[in-house]
Amino acid sequence: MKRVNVKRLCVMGVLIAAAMLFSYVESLVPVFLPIPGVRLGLANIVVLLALLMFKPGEAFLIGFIRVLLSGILFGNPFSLAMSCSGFLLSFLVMYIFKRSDKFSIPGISIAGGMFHNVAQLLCARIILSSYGIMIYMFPLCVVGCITGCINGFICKMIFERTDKHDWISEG
Amino acid sequence: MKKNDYILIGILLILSLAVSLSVFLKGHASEASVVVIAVDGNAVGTYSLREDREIPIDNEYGHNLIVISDGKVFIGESDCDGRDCIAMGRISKGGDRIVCLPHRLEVYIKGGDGVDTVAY
Ligand SMILES: [Zn+2]
Repeated sequence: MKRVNVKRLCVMGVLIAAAMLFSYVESLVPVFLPIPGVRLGLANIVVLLALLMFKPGEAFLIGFIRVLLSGILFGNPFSLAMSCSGFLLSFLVMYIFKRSDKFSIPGISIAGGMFHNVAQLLCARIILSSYGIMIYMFPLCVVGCITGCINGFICKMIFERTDKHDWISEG
Repeated sequence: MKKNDYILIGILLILSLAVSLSVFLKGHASEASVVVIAVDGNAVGTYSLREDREIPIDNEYGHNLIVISDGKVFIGESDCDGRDCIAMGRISKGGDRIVCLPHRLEVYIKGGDGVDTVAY
């Protein structure tokens, strides 16, 4: 039987809780763009941090549980569908860019933030069956770039200040 | 930040700008004065921006009240989740758009003459 690493499990639980807190704070911030579900993406700090410190599958689990729980608790079916699509694409993009080892942490975060919003826009485009809504592509990418940059530098600061050996070690 | 980061960000921003510009140029043909209401991507009515009126939209998705007043359009009432459409406020320029995602509803302004008010 696979041994359960209790320390890892605890840290993962704490990260999910932290991401949930970010989601809640965000749900209090009013919409500033006409696409529902577009938020600051603070929870992405946690997902990226998990991607840097844990196995990809574990990081995915942290992010996915966060999206589901906050969608059920603070959202509606539409915001859940939107944030789900945003999470899936941004996670995939961040995972690929992180693996390539060619980008810095803020760079990965910015790509994640942009593609998060792109996925939400594509989701809205499918729901509405309208092409005109794609006019929001540029403003949403600019917003994703700014929020991704802020989140990326916060993530970098946290990552550099944590005792990685203590968290990642299999013992 | 590395050089690669800046290249990546630059490329992504240029691509997104191209998408937005292409949509903008399409919808910005002539003087914008026509209000189009679409559900599920199909136009259900076109109205003049110059005539004040209220248009209720009731269908299987729910209720919206679209208000045209003083050359501006806004959603006056909605029973959707979140009421994001009401929060989007007033639009008045060509290419402007209000969306009510839960109700698959779009209201936008396009240029052109030949306004025909569709009754339904
Ligand atoms: Zn609405």
